[in-house]
Amino acid sequence: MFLRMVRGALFRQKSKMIMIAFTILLGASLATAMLNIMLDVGDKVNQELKAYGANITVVPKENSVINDIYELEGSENDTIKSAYLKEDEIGKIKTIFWTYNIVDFAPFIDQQVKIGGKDVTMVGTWFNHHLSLSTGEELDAGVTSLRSWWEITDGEWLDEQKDASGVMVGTLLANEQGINVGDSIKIDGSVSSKELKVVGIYDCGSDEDEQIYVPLDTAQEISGTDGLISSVEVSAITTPDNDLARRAAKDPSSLSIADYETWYCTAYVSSICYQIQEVMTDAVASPVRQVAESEGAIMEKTQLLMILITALSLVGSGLGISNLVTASVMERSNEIGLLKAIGAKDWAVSLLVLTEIMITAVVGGIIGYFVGYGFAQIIGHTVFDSSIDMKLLVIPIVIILILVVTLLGSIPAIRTLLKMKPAEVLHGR
Amino acid sequence: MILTANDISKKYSRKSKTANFFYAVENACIEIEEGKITEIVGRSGSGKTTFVSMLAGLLRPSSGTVTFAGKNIYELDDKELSILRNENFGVVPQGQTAIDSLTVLENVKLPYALYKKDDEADAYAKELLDKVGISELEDVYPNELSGGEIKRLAIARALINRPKILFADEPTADLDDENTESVLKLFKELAEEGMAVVMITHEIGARAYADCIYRMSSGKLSIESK
Repeated sequence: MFLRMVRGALFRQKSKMIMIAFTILLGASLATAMLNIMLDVGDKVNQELKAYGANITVVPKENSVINDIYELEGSENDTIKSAYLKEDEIGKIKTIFWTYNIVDFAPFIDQQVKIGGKDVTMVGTWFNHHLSLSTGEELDAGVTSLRSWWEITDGEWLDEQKDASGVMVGTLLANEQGINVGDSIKIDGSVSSKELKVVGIYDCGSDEDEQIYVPLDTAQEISGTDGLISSVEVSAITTPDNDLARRAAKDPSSLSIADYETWYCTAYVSSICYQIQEVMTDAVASPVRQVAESEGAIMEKTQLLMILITALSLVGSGLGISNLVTASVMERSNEIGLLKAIGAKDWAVSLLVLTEIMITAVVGGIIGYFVGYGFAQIIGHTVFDSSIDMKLLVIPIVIILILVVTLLGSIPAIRTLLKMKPAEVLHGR
Repeated sequence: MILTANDISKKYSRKSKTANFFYAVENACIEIEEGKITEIVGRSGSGKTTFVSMLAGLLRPSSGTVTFAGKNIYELDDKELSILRNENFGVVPQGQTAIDSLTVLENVKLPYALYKKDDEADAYAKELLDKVGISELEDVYPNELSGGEIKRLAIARALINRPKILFADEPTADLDDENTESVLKLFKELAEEGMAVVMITHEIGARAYADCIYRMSSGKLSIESK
């Protein structure tokens, strides 16, 4: 009989219940969309930020110590180099715990060379180097993707998988020396000289416009540093730092075992750096602070915005539910008065009303979840040009939020119901 | 005596030139006896419904006590008072009251179903519907009933738990003469079986069935005949 009364009330007050369901649907959809985006936005923002370069640099320990002592930081030209990393260890970066968070990386070695009698910095690196890792993974890595913001003003990116004997020249140097795509330029290094064909002129708006970029093997041959590199730049998807990450960055050994495991198994930039150091001999990996901090700040602000939108939408839903349920109770005061008059306890009448509202909330919530997921996809494609992953964690969160908001929204109606005196409502007062 | 009201008053706020309140019922006393029909008469707005609501445990008096079976019913908490009302009092409200989502039969069984399994009351509910003359309407929903039929449904519903006291507020208001007569006869039978019946009515013919008559006038209760 209880269920028949609930069903009867739901159908009798169809339009009001549809309004309540619609209010909950709006709240649930916004909460679902924002929570899904919030949980996925880290990856999305990170991927967007990866377009602006590496966020981790790896240098030999010896150089790092000297740089730290003299507080040197910045471009490679500013730092002191006297030691090298091993080229054959670069692939190990893709074997760490957070391997899937390593988006791209490239080794570098630079040396002063002469081109037409002028001192020029030659940078050897990977362009689109193909790697076959011991794990069976195959990938292309290098500056073609790591320096994606470079504008190729003439020619094209050097494709080292087709022709490793080319060179790319910075736009300032090319203008000064009258170098054009297709020209052959002679590079005089400390050990040997080599003539290379210019395949592209690039403009990146920095000192690199006065440099030349050659494949790593070529640079090692010219500078006599076979198998050696001076640094590695790594682009990794990271989680914004928190207190734990900051403590760990100072000294991982100061953490408790539980904190250490949490930190190690979270993609903080410091834990990724730590794991890179574990696989590379005598290497120090450190975050490029500005990039890491910007990522963190953008992420935190974006997430805060999402939380605020979620909170406001839920507050709006709560107020809407409150008005609608109170109106529903007032409309049914005669029925509620009768139930009380024949001996129904206050809690039993409240339970009846709450059951009706909860059923409506569940229907509104389920539809709202899927509508919200649709919103998330629209936002994902509009803002990030990609879909938003469905996060299972969002489902229990939305369920709890909807139940809490519905219950809180029903409080004024239940208070009204409890205050109703059967004699007065039945008498039409 | 099954129920006693001692000096009960109901005061409501209302600003006027002389005071900020008025008494709907003032210092009323009554003793309800088993097996008797007590009739309360008076003009509209005189306080009859307020008074009977206080007797039925539906409206807390501003002062005074209502004692049932030796207990002041307004000293009970909501749960105890609800159960007491359900088990001992049958209430026929003044207006047309029914749960629209339930059939006539389900509406009649509702007070029973609140605390027990409703199918146990099937036979008695049907018997009551027969007594009030709407047995053929047991599967009909209230929105298809006339005012008189809803009133008879309310009488049957009030009797389903075999209450010790029946409070009926204008039970014959929407009934034709024939049905008025049959309802009053039913009340007389119930009283003869030991039930106390408290009835508010404007029905002149009801006086013949009453064992005692009280008059309510401007909130003041006085005995008219015993």
